[in-house]
Amino acid sequence: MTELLWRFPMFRVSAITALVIIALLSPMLAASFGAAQIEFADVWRATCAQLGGGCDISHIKQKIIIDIRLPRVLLAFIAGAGLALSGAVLQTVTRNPLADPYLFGISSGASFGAVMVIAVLGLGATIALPMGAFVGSALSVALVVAMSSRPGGNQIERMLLAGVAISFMFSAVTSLALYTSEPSATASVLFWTLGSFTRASWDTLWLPLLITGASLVLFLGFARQLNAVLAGEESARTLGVDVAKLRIGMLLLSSLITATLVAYCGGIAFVGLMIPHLVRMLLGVNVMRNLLATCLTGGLFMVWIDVLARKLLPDQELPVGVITSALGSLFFLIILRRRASKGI
Amino acid sequence: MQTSTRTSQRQSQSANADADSLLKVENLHWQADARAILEHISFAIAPGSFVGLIGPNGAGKSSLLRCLYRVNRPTQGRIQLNGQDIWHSSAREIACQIAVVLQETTGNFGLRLRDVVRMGLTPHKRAFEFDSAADLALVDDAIDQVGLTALAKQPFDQLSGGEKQRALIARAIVQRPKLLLMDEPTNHLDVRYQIQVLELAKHLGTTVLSSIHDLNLASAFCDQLLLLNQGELVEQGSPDQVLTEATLANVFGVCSSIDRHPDHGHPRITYHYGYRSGDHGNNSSGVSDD
Repeated sequence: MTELLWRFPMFRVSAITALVIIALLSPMLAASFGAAQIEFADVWRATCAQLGGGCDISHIKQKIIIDIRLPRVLLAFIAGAGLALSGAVLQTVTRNPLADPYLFGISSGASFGAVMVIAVLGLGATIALPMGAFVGSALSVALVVAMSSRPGGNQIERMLLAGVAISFMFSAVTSLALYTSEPSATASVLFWTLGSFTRASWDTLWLPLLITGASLVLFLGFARQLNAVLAGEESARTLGVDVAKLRIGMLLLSSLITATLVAYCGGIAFVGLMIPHLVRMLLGVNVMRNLLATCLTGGLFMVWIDVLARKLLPDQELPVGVITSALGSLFFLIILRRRASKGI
Repeated sequence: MQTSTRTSQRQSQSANADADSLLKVENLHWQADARAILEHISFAIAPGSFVGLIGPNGAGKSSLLRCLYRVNRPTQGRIQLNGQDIWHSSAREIACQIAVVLQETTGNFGLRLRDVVRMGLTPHKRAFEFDSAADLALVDDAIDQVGLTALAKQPFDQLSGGEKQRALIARAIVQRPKLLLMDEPTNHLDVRYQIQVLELAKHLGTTVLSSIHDLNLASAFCDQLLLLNQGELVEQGSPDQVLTEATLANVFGVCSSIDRHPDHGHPRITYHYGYRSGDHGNNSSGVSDD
């Protein structure tokens, strides 16, 4: 249906324009939601004042908007875009609709690292925690890659099964460490695992931005090879694509994005699985177009999920991961049901 | 009973095809899970020829083709393309010279016909290299050549079997190969499309090696036939040399008579039926089990 509409240039142009306008307005709009009463116009004035314009805004509002709200909204956008992007790429190279960065043990590896830092080393929620999470997820990916980098046999199957096994292995160790540690340590690990953008600041924003942006450029550079893999592994090989190497390379890049984001924002599940499916249903499968749309959609989705996290309960913030999982899975089930009833 | 003539035929064939061959396979062996699938395979293909690979189910036709397009790595022996070992070049370099039309492609995730044909550019492009206007003209030309221009924007999955095979041939045209390999390109096609697909391949002007199930089609289209049986190359030569009543009886286990096709003069096979005659007693064709 949408594929059909998409053939009309009018529809294409208006759909893309709408998406870009929403993408530009959303961060501004999203920054006006939160505990402190701030209007959309305030955000505008604060940005203008920050950029050296002569706009009139109180110092405190200026500070809240520029130092707290905007980096948070941007981090949410980058996180959503990055997670959706890595999900889309992994689903393409494994040709498995279930593939998602978390399926390869990245989040359980990250939790393992975080728990080791908090519960075993006894360090609080300092810079050591994201470092630990990053090391943990890197470890799990290294194990998955070691299991699946040798050619021959069914590489995808080995990759997925190794990911699941490694997930359970790390979960077991994490549970054991939590079981034997202090309740306060358990609470802070739990809070971290559920994901949040509260730690966002301008000083730390550059790293996730750099990694997600650079990976996007690399993915787009390999769009031709990724497209070839879509038509089947053997067919891609006859076109001169080294499928096994491409798969490992893409897994490493996606993992790098995810591990960085998990270290910054905690475990935010389901975005990487859901957004690529949504985009594919709307736009078809052409890799180039898809990756860009996936980035935008994932980013916007996360910005608004974070708004919900701030506004849903009065005087309290919900963990982002809870909302993405709850809303996302519900939404996803509805789409699947609709798709089944249409017989697609 | 045929062994002596067969061996001498094989030797004379490989001797005169050696001189300036495009593809040369020497003593190829391939094993899967310690089981020998292909053994002692040697043949050569001259540039510009149309070669048919025939043999019963499980003879190793697909395995042999997969060796030639670098998916199966031979356990022994050499495969040379223009005098160069194909395993000494990169997958991309080989893909610039060998294009493959596979039996069936599944799960295209809704790519359109034109996207699929455009994939033929893949080996000629490095990462970050975009398609030029000339590339896209080549793609549209190839689609036109196989007569699918009207369907260029259709999802590939929704095409009929014959249209899919033609689209894959268009992809191979875009790939600009020296050698086109086809694995049972006529499988599951109506007779009209079987002929259409093979005629299309024959008129491309490239050297073609195709496995073909239907022996009469193979006889009609091929300059040279390779007959595989149980992983060994048992016959090679012109259709006249390979398709004999005795060979068909030995390798395929069927009874047939062979005469000349009135149009092209190649062998025409007429099969005889009634193999279960002994059980039912209504044997009408005069063939008996023992």
